Amino acid sequence: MGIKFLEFVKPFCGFVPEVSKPERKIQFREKMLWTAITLFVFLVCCQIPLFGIMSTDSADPFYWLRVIMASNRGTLMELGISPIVTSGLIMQLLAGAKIIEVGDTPKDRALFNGAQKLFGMVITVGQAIVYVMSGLYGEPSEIGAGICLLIVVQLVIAGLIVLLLDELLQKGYGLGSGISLFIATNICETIVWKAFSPATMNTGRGTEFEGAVIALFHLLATRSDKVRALREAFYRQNLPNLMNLMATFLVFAVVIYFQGFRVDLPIKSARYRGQYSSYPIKLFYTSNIPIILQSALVSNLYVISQMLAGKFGGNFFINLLGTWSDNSGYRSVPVGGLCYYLSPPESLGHIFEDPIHCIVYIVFMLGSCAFFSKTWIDVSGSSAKDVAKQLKEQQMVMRGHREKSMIHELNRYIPTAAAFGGLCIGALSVTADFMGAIGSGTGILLAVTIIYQYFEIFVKEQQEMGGVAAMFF
Amino acid sequence: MADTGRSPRPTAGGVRQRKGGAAAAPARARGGGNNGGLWRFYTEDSTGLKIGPVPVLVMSLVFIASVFVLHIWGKFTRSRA
Repeated sequence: MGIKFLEFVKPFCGFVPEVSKPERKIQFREKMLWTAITLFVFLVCCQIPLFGIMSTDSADPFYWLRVIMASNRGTLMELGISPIVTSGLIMQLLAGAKIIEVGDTPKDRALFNGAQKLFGMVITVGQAIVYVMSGLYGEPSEIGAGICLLIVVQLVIAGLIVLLLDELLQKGYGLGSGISLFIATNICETIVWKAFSPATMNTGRGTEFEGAVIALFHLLATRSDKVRALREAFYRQNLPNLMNLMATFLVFAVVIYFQGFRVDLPIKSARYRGQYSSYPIKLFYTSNIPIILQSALVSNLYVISQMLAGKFGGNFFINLLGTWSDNSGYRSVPVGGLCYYLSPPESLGHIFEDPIHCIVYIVFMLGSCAFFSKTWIDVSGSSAKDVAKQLKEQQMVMRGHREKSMIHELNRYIPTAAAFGGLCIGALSVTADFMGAIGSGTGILLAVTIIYQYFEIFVKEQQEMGGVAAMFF
Repeated sequence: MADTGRSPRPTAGGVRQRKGGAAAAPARARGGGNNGGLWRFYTEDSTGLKIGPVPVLVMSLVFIASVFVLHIWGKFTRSRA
């Protein structure tokens, strides 16, 4: 059945546009240029509102998806990268569970990639239609059929462009991948905005700036009681405060410190005597994958629960899944049911008010991150067996072990590193949430791990080029 | 305070050193599996319509421009009505 599925999609794959691989080696400067252009197009698309929408002031049901999906409400980037991530996720999981059989030949892999993209396009079209029809931009009957079609077309083309830009970077014209670049940009934007936003709000104690740093100076300058002004700047509850900002930087530092933790397994060449090196197994073996999978799961649950609660409120089972309140205006907040227990506590004080919520949340975060991390190594081909195969292809063996016992030896480290690393990532995310880090614990962790990956790419490029100066001149 | 300022530095240096050593090692090249967690969905060439990077750029710019034009056109028709 598996092979048949890929054979079935084969004729359609011919219609999927695809960026061709570069024929020559792209210089580092050119890569930087392409990365910058991609980012520019993405940021412009994040700002242009969709043509034809009537209103976007209802409570945002996709608020929880926005961080990981790099999407912006009411703009061309409404869908963000969610079609790509969803299709990639589902296809990889299906392939991992052997429901779709993918052979080892390059032709099979190419077909699988084509199918993934095709599936991504189908999801884009589906999502666009659902968004418009569910009345996210105003009642479809009021907007009119022509404009509805126009909105769908805009969303689909924007989705196609994101897909192509992502592929452009991955094929080697740019650095890293579009997906991680867009996620990191979105989160960093939030952090900078929360720190330096010049928007003012009337809080009842006079006008205050939204940005934490700007508010500090404004409060110090205008208030006569300087100590109280400082306390206000550090601890105000309704707007981002300096403690949040400091927590954000602390989490940044801690995650980067943890990135260096690893076990180096000694290996040697089987062909040349005396050629020794080491194979590093990092603590964050699966990096940010568990967090992405975990938050994708939770946010999908939230969306489903919200839609159900909107349609059939009151029902016992729906309430068990989650009850929602729109009090805070621009987003719905879970106030009961399963979704409430899976959402992060609002503040440190909340822990004492409802300790059960807190305990359930921590257990769920740690457990799910460890679980996803462990399953991912099998799905993505980085399990002990695959690593042993790679080392064998490179004619490397572990010192003091025969080929047979190598898998056994790797098996001692890799699943442990994956599970424990996932656990640590989950714990860090929970800690960040409790400290009130800006942009949610999940978001911060994604941003830091992605930035660290980019840093690693830079270091690698630098070694190939021979120095920082050679990279740019 | 000075103590806390000093302590991270040696660790950071140590991390960098170790990394440099590992990167120079020949066994660093890992295959498609774990690329440090970066999502790599389409590294291989598949069988679709081939287009270069410049057409992608042109296409996205044309798309952005056309949405701009739509907005302006929308303003005109709305004010006349």
